[in-house]
Amino acid sequence: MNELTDHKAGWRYFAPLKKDSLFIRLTGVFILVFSLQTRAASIYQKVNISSDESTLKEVFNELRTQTGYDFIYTDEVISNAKPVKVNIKNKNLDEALNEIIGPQRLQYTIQNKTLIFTSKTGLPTSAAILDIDIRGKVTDAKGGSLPGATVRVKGTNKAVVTNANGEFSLAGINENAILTISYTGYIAQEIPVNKRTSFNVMLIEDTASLNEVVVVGYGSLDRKDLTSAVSTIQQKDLIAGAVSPLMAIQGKVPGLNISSANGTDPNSNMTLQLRGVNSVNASQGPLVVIDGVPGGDINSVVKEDIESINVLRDASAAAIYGTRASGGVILITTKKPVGGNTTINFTSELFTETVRKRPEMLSGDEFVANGLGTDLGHRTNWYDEVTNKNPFSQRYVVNMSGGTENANVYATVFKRDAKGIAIGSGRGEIGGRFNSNFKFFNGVAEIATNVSYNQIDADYTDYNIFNMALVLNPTETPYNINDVTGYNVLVGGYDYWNPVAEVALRSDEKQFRYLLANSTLKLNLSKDLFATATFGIKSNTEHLSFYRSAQHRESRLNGVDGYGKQEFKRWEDRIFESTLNYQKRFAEHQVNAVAGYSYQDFNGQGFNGSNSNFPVDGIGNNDLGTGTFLVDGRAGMGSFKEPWVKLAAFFGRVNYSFKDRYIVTATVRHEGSSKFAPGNKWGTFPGISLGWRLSEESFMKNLNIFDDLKFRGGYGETGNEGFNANVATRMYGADTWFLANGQWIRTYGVLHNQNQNIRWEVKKEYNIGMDFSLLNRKLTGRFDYYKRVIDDLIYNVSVSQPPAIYDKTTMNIGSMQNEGVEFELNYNAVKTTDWNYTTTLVASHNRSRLNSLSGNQTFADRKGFPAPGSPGDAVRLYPGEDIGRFFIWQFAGFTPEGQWQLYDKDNVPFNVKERNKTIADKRFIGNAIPKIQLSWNHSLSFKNWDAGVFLRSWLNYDVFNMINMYYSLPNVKGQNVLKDAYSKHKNIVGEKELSDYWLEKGDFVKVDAVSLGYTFNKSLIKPLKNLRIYASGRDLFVFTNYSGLDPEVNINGLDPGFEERNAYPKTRTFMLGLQASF
Amino acid sequence: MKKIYIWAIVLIGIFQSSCTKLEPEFYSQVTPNNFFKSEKDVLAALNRPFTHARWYLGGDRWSLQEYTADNFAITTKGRHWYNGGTNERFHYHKWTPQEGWIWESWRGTLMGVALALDTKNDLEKLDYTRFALTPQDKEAHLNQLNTLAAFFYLRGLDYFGGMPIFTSLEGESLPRNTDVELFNHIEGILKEAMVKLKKKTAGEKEEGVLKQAAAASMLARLYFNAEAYIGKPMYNECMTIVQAIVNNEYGAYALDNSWNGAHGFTNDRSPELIWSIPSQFNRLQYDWFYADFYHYNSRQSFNVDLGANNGAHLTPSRKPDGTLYAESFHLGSPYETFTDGDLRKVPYRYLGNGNYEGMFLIGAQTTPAGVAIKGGEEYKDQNLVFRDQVGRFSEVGPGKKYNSIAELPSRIADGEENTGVRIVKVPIPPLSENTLRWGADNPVIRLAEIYYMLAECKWRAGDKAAAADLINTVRKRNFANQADPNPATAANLDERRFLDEWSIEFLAEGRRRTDLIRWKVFTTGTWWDHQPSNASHLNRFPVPTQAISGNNNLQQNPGY
Repeated sequence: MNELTDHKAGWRYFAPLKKDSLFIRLTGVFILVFSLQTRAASIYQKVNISSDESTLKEVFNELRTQTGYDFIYTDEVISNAKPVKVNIKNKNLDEALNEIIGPQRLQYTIQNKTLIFTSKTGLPTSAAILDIDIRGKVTDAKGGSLPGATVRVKGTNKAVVTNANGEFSLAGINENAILTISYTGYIAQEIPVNKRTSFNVMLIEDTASLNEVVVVGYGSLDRKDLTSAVSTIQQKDLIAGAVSPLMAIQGKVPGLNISSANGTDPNSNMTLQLRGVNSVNASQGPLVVIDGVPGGDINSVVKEDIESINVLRDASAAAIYGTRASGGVILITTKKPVGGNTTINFTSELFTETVRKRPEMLSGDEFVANGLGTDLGHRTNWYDEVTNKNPFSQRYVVNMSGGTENANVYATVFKRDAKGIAIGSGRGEIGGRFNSNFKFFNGVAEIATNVSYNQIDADYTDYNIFNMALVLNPTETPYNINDVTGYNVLVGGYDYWNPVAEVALRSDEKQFRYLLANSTLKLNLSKDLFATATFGIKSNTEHLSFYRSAQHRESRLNGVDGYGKQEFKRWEDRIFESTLNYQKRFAEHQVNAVAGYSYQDFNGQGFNGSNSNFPVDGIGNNDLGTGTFLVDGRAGMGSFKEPWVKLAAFFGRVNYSFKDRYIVTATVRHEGSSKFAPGNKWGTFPGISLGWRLSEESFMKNLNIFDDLKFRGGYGETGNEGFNANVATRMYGADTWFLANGQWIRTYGVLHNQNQNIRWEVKKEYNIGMDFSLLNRKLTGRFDYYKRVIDDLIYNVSVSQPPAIYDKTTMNIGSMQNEGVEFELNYNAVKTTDWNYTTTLVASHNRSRLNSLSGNQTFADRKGFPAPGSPGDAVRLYPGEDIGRFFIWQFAGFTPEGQWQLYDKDNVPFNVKERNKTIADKRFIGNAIPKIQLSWNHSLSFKNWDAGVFLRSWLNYDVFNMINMYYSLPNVKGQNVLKDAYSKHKNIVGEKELSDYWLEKGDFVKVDAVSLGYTFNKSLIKPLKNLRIYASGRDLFVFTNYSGLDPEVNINGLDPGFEERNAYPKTRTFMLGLQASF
Repeated sequence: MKKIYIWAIVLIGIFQSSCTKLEPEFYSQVTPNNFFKSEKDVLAALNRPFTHARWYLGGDRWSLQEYTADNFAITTKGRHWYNGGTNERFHYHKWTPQEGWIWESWRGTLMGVALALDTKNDLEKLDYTRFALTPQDKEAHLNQLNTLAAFFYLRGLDYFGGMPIFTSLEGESLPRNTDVELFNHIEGILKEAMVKLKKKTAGEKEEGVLKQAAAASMLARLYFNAEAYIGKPMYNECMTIVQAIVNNEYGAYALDNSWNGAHGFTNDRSPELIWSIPSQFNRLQYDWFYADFYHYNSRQSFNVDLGANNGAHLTPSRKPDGTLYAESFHLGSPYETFTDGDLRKVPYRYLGNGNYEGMFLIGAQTTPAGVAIKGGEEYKDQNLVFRDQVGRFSEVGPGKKYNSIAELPSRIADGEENTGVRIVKVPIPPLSENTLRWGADNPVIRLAEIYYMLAECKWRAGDKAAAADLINTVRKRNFANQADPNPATAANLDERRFLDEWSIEFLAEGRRRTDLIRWKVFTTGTWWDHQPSNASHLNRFPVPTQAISGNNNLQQNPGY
């Protein structure tokens, strides 16, 4: 029946901007849908329409304006239509439609908020009811077959999935049955059988984001019902060329800052921060929830397995996670199994990288010419020596999915082998995932199980090699053929050592194992009500193996033949949660509610052993007992078991919507933690938010501007208990030995400062937001403003000793606030059969301020600058001051002799040689937090090609260049320095000063990712179902005036804005990938 | 359908009642409530503050006393040890409130007080009879803790002046008490403890327990330096106490007969020790100094498996050209201050079985077997020879930076790997006898100091002959057959000689700055590469920035 070959005549979903373009036209292609004799419910939207001679098109146009429903029809429908003659007053849409299309030979189906009109073809007439055999084919809009679509006989348990050609067959079907055809990402359809035996079904892609289901805490909501700021990232939105799921969303979520502690090092840790600093000390990052298990480890998830990442940005949404949600919540949902024939996807990615920018140190000749040290006769570029040339990495992922309607599985295996740009850095990963879903009791009960396991073998470099590469004498050589190791092992002093020998003569390895498993029983108690119970376990282990060879500098210095250590730690967190979920629509009211209970506990323990002076160097630490330090009593041994920490909570959420226009969501979590002393254990965290879908109001509909416009406002409280479990308890622990009555005994004393009064840190957040969509959904966007106040800040604060035993106590010490705006704009500028271009702009601004510190603690100093020298602290937390300001001296120029001058507290310059600077002369200068953070994504596709460019930018902020401060002055002797020392700074004689002289504007624009892909025509690649090759480059160019290595320094936490001396090299990464499915 | 509801509710009910009790459980720590089971536990708690004292007596506290004064320095040695100017700042008296040494000393002082008070608080509550201990034991224990707190306060008063006074762990962010208040507080504790502590009996080993004489000695130190602490000389009060100690009124003590008896491997048996911190290999080790004091290759001369960083040494007695500094100024020159013939003034040599000779590493360095030890930096592959001079000798010669030794400057910036005489106050046995390693206890107070205090009090009272006698009583053991070629006399015992005597007997014992301040030369005296600042506020260190950050009520010392 269909002409499926003409691609140009496909769906013209988004036509050019003219009035009738609000309709979606079908040209040359039929969709086959069959009349609706049974519609589940009437459409409550009331309409008014009167017409004498209007065309059907005009009437549909009017109805669309009044209802917000989409009308989809073929050209055939319109061309054959008669003029419409009706007078309808305040009737339901479905009643009105019956009246309108009654005289026409038309029928329609409803898919969510889309009405699909087709010519009436079948004639429903028959008295006898018979069972018949049927068969058919399911295709997409372009006519491509859809394998794996589910065809279900409505109201029964009978279902099949389509085969590789999209075909299905069912035997013994009631001739009046209704078929439900569904496929992920497409709008499901219902088709009455009507005695027909052959079906061609076309499914329409679900692009209407309004009906997108958004995962929120303990359930999901339609986006239209959402009243809080939630960002959703789908698999297709992930940044190309990133391996970690977190790096793959960097810059994509407004307000979420993700940064890697050590650049592209495969073993680097990430830090996350949402909407600015939300705590001084207690855990600051968002809570990661993987398939419902809070506190999941991101290492448990491979990028390809991600269905979606939802970020609950504001506290009204996060409040349901209570105590740990202060930093926001990141919900990661892995792919669900899809029934049907087995599909297999294979992904292979190959990576390499090069150094993008390197520090400009003196060459060997310049080093000698400036008298910095003896010429040892060599010319060594130490930065080259400590970096690998084009290190090669690879990863392979295979996902499989299949099964029947009632029992299906999704499985992944993956392997990765990565090498860092730093010598000695490597990472091997192997792991897998198994998600399954079983239904029984006729679909009343379901068990969904997710198990993931990832084993990582990490070889660590020593990040100080980068500092060493800066300072080492460039006339020294890393190699010495006369040395037994072949390396020039520098022994003597701890300031300088050969980084090449260092990495070669020791090994620092860890094996991590991450197991995350959870199983959920779901009971569908009625159409509207279901209950769930989830058991989960997170079991992580870490096994360290460290060995220092007998030839290592420290072994030589101490005259000890090697040092070995092994350490094993394990953590087991268990979780149990049960919920009761209710969803019901009564006429104009819709309720979606959940209530539940959660219990989680945390256990950790470990042991270690170390020994020295081994008889054989080659065995390494594999036979720890043979070292002589054991018999001398100098070997090490230890073990620990962490306190058993428990969390229990009762929680609930109600989402209520009236007329699909007025929506309210209320949540509460009552949570207790064993970390607190009795009386302080339990806290209650409420959240409430309201939404008003202005676009549903008739006066807005008449304006005909917005497809959707929603205002949101919310308030929520979340807690923070991320501090050591010992704090509230007074505790004795072992110290060293002492002699008592002639016997050596272990002494015992207080382990830490006790604080029985410690309470929850509470974040109170207001959020006002707006979602909009216009130009037929081509332009969508979101805007949010938030303000939050964090009370009872928990912080390891410097305290007075006595009464405290130690100099820091974990206390509730004050209050801080964040304020900011976030903005997201998505424009699908071009959408034709061949071309598709979408651009997305994300912008955010945040300002964090310390409001108060309690008691006599009126400030707290941080970020002590490291030796050499005692430069002092560069950050002061001070009430009323913004987080991110530098507390340093202000530079007042150099004297003619080259001495530093600073401003004193009265703004009078003084020479630091003539009088000592004092703390009173310091001041708050600069700002490390960008005023605006931007990201701008472009994705373009043309026929089989797709391409993307992702730009990021930070504006208006300062970076403290520590590399310049430590290594760009000529008074530094005996080591290498930056070229600046003998050009720009050649006349300075004084020791470095902790001043704003080292502060620079950091503003940058970065070409963060560029990607290009090609998908082969299906006809060319049989038997493969899909084949795509793609390439990407990451971190390609940075446009900035900043003179250091990279202006994108860490801006998370309380000490943002410093570029450290051992900074990991900034690299460009290139990736070539292939995806095939069959 | 109804059945399912019931099942669901039962199921949920079972799960939901599972846990709302949230008691923490601890595994590798104990709470004080369940700790005290026997006398051993009481002693384990009692001695925790003493392990802090062991830490406190070395490291940064020592650095503040010695690197700011005329006997020790850490020169910059080529590319090593500049450390951003830290060593220069202390040597030139240019320290700032940001210095790590100062912060660690402030923190360590008050942490010591807090630990003592905290333990006292726990022990006070115990019924000692449960552990077969007497009320006198308890009183002695509590007074040991009081005395220890007083000791920390005394050091704090010396470094910083008045500190916040705590007698229990009540009160938050207290401001500083005045110098006089802290002085009186220390005096009060010690006067009580002098009576209530146990008295040492003859022949008893010194193992770290504070006894009457220790408290008395601390009180004597307080009075001895009272002029510096509170502006009021109290030498007479000091004299009364030290005389009583010498008279054995606070227990049985005697000067050791041998030059190293108070410092050797068996010094716990030396009658001279009034208070010491016990030390033993693999237990509590008196070893903090090793890494800083010795050369990278000194392990070959000691024949041990210990690496070192080549930092500290004596300030030089000689100019680069070999002439003595003593001709230019009186302070410093610690090595040459020793009279020739002094048993200490010879290179350290281990003789076996716990016997050793000499107190310095000087001259050509060899292994015990006599093989020359090589250098690794300026004198790479050349013999390592420690010299009592500071200068860049390796840069003298044709085509080098200096044409002749005469041009060589001698400053703290001008060290080399072989610069300076190294001290071996604590004997180091070879690897073959490593069970003896760190066997020497750390003497904190010894009777020789009491003699010297008595001598100085008498000297200040005008009785120079008696003073000289007392000093000679100690001095003579350092010479063969006790024949001192250069005894103190009423005629030669001037201020300069007296300061030299303190330097000789107590070299490297972490007290030099205090002595220079008492003699009012710390900020006015000249020594090698150090010009006087004449800024009397430098007699005290500043309250460290970090301390003020933790307690904003602390007032900075004047001048900083």
